[in-house]
Amino acid sequence: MKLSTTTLTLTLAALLVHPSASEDQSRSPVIDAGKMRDATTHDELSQRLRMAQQNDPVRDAGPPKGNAGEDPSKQHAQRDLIADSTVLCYGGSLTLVPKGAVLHLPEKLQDRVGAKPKVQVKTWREFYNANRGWIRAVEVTREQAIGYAPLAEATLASIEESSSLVVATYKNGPISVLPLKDPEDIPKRSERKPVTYR
Amino acid sequence: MKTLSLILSALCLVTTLGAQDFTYFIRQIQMPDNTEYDVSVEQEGTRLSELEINPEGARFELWTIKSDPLTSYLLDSTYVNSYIPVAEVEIVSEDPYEVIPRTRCDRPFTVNIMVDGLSSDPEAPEAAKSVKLLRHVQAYHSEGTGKNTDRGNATLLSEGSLDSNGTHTLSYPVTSIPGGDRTKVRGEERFSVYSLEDEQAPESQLDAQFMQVWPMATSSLSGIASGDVIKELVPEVTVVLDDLYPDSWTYVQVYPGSPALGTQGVVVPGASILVDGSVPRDETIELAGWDESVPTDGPWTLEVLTVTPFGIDRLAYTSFQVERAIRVNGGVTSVD
Repeated sequence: MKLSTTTLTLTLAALLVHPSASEDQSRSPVIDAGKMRDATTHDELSQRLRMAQQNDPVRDAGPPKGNAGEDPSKQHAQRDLIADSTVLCYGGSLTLVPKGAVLHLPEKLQDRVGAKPKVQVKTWREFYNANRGWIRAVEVTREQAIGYAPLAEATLASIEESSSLVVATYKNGPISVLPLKDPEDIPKRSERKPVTYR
Repeated sequence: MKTLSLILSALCLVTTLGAQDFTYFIRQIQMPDNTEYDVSVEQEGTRLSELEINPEGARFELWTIKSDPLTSYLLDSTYVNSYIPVAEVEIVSEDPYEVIPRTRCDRPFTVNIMVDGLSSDPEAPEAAKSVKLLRHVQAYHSEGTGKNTDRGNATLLSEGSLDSNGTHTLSYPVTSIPGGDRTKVRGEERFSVYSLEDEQAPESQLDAQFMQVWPMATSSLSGIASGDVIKELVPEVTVVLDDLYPDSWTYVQVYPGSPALGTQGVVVPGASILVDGSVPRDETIELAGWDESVPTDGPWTLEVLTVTPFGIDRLAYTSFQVERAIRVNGGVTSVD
């Protein structure tokens, strides 16, 4: 680990004071003794806190807009990537893919889903390269992933018959595939264009 | 498509945690359906997302996963959209530590918030003209180090808004993390910038940064008391050190004379501790056989000092008297 400034300063100070091991090892390091101070007390800090609370720069920046009083950080506070992913685990390593990315799980491979202790976490790419013998990646389109278009019949058939675990990928990255939406719920293409105000 | 450079830059910060133990994942969550896409990433670098962002935007999350025990940590999260502004939060303290911003509970710090892309068009939606600013605080338990902290329990201390582009600097003289004894406060301060809710997405985090705040070190001496007189061998002294700052050098020194702040003495052999870690440490130093450090008779002072990025603090001291010379009260007489 990189030496921190203080450590570095102290090392240099030690070198300045102790040019050779034969010298007095107990002498104090070269420090600016004039900058020594007694530790700040609770009362001093309480006073500083009171002053700080009277002038909070966040409040002073401007009155809160939008949903004032609601804490948006609570939305994803419970999120846990492990719990919110499908864990593929085999041969002493595991990886995480989004839930909904595993399109087919043969019964004989069910024990390879779920975490086991004392294994090394790998990225999808590393794990897939080491486990191509039992994992098959099937490329899907963006429209298929969000449930706006079905997978091709031939693809569906091959997935059903596969003896491998099948993972949906988009440009080689695992992606969750949502259930096919009702055509009435799919917005028209013209409604899906980004809105730009700049 | 938006670059992931903002998120990936955070990778550089965490690699020193121990690269062999952590694996990094970026998840792109598409609004409004929450389709999730795994963006494979190297340890550091910049790349474009392969998955085009929906008109409603997307949230990018940077995670690191620890192998043993299997644990996930959310390092950063940002929401991007075609008209939502971008923001970057930076917390600056006196400690140059690079992994996680950190400071001590008695020290000031500064928060720089860079905002870009706010629209000046009065017809633009509110979410394009303003961002929300939040400050959270969260105390750790008495020996807590931040591990297994449920950040959903953080307290929203204050909120405001920014409606102009540029860098906004917020200065704080001291932390507001709750705690009865202000010298022993430990926990986190978090500053976040959120977009405003609109028809396309809820309030979403544009950027956030947290800083760890550690307590002040304290020390107590036992085995010697102020005013003690040492006539023969020096006593064994126990120096108890609590909450030594993660980047600190703490030592015991002695010097002749009464206590005087700023005096440079000699370090008692073996009585120094260097801490170079990520969390505070408690230590005990046993001083024995330190007679050579107090070679002359007279008043002496023993001090405990700690050197940190914030300066040199005297934690404890005591004074004592050395009287080794044997005085014989008597006289020689002769019968002659």
